[in-house]
Amino acid sequence: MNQYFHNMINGIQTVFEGMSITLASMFQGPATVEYPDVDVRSVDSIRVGLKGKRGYKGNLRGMPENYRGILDVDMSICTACLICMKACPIDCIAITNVKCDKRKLQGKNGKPAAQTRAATRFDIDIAKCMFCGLCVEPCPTGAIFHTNEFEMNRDNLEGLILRFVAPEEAEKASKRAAEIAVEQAEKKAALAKEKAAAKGEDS
Amino acid sequence: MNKELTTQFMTINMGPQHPSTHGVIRFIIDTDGEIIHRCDPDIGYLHRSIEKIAEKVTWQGFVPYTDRVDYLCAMNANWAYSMAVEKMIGVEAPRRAEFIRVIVAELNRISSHLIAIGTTAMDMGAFTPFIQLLREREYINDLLEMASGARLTYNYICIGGVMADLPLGWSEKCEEFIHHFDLAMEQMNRLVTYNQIFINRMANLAVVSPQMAQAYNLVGPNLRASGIKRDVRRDAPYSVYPELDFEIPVGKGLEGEVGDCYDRFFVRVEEIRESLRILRQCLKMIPEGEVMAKVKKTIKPPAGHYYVRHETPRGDTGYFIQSDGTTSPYRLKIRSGSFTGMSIIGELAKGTFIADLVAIIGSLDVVAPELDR
Amino acid sequence: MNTQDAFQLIQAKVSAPIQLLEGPTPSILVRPQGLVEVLTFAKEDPQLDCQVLTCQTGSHQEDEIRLFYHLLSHEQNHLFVFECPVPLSDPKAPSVTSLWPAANWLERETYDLLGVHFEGHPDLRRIMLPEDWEGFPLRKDYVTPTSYHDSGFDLTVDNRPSAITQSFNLSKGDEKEDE
Repeated sequence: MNQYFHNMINGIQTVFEGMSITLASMFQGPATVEYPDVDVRSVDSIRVGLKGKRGYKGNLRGMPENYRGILDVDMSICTACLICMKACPIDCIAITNVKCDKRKLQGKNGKPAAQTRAATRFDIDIAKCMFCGLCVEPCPTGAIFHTNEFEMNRDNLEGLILRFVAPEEAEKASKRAAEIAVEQAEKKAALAKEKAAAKGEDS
Repeated sequence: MNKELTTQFMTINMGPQHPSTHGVIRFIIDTDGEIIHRCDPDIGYLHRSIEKIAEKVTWQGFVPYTDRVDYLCAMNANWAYSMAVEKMIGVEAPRRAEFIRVIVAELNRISSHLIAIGTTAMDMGAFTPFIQLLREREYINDLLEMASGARLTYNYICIGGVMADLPLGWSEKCEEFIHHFDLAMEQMNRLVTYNQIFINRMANLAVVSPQMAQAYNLVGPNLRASGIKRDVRRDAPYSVYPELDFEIPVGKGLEGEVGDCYDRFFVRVEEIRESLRILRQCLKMIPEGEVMAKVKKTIKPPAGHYYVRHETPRGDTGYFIQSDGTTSPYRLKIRSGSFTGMSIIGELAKGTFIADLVAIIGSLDVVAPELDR
Repeated sequence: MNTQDAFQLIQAKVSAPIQLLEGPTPSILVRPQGLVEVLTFAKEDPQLDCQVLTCQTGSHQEDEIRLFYHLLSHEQNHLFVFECPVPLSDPKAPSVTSLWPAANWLERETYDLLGVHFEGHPDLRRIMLPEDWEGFPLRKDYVTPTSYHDSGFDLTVDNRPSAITQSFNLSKGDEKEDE
């Protein structure tokens, strides 16, 4: 009988203890910010959003610099080397390239690189992308990188494919590639002629 | 009027869309009134053929897929796979990387256990603890996001080390969090762990004896709750765990028999405390240095089969990898804690109430994607 | 105890022929005929004391399916690997469910994905895939199906947005005008 009442009192006590915690959290202010109204990318606006919150507020860093959002490519330093395409485990990057005039450039990491090929197509299917960052890591110039952008709503499905090479540029590059091919063939022919002439002199 | 009353079993279907089955799992239950006579878990709704995918992608390319095997502890899954491949190609991660791995994995263990505790309480009808614990988990997610750049599928631990060094000021933020979390954990215990109603609901329910736990191959907290003091971090130590000082909590039968639902619940609460202890030590001990070992761009491990065990929040997770010396695995099998944890439910649920089945699933901490892979 | 010692112990006590395989992970090869005998010994011998079947799986190799049994002892803290080759023409192996109940689901998974029939298994059904699935996906000669029975659902359809756009006949010209 004693045990019975003891259990009852214990039950009521622990329930009230739990309720006191629940009630206390009513006066602690909100722990979240309302997303579309508050700019979650900036720390200051989050801080304003959490103004009423008491106690620990989390680490309050907004969006970190290394956030892995939608991919972007800096075509001015891309060497169209296809490394990112090969690194992607789900094949969401499609690149085709042609020969171009040799050009020296500086990568984002400060390392010099040489471009011998230009991309005629550089598409990333962000509907398929899983933001793993495996393409960013091996890039020799740092041309492909993650942005802080995470809002992927588009008004049509076609918009989910990012195309980094405009059709005009692609046309220009392929035209130039054809010219280079002709030039090289001419050079080769001239070389062969010289060699043949030299041989003829020898004999 | 001498007719005997006859009863007959009713077969009911629980799931696949049921709030307390923690994912897409279906149970076919034969009931006699409110009592379960037979419970047959029907799994496979989340089968994404990850083991088949492994045979098509490169060794590095499989790391992001391990995130998806168990999304509640992606760091641990990354680590388990990376450790297996490192063992195969004979690469050792730098010391700083090993410490970073321990820190992020223990943080992830805490966040996974918070979900386990919170959902168990929610299945019992207490919604407040779940919300409170999700708030705490969000702080951990913020910390891991700062380190890795993603909130859930990190892909941070890679073959040969970690993707990037910890950002400036991370350790201070982490210490701040640990200081806050100690108090939050105390509050959580008062809210749910020591609640008499909750204890009465969980104690003496679905007792798993040590023999049964071994026979059904339970792992991790579920095994330890039955009184078997086994932890891969101690038995087959890896990384820097031998240098760290931590206890392995086991079920003691605090409110009932050893190995009941409450023990399984309480072992997780204790493990969070041990994880905090490990974190404190690691933040003091972490050295400076490199975070990435030199690894070839194209990995070609020698032919043969390997089995690597790793302690994730759901216990001893085994990666069986067979290589034929090419650029992708020949056969990869993930032996997950949820899979064997689920196979015991048919046995445990016999003779319990339907409402108790929910408690059993919650206490075993089954995660559906890891179960089906 | 390492695998060599375990091999010698089993060879001395069990009549079934076994073979020690070297490699990155040493293992013990057992024929299907002697499998249950050897595994029973491994479980009951006080020195081996393998109370836990921690992993059971298989892999398709040319003309055979090789089954792997990973046995773990909590008391002695050691892990042994047993291999058992099963011919692909007649993939049959004895079930070890009577020794470890954990083998029930693990063997069902191996049956589901690799098509090995475990004789004496109490409930050999598919576990991951639907009951009416054809073929065993983890075999190397498995051909990915193009449709699921006569559901009319073509699995080869490219579901990338570019392909979807074409199938929906969304015109690309209009967008440009809008911009």
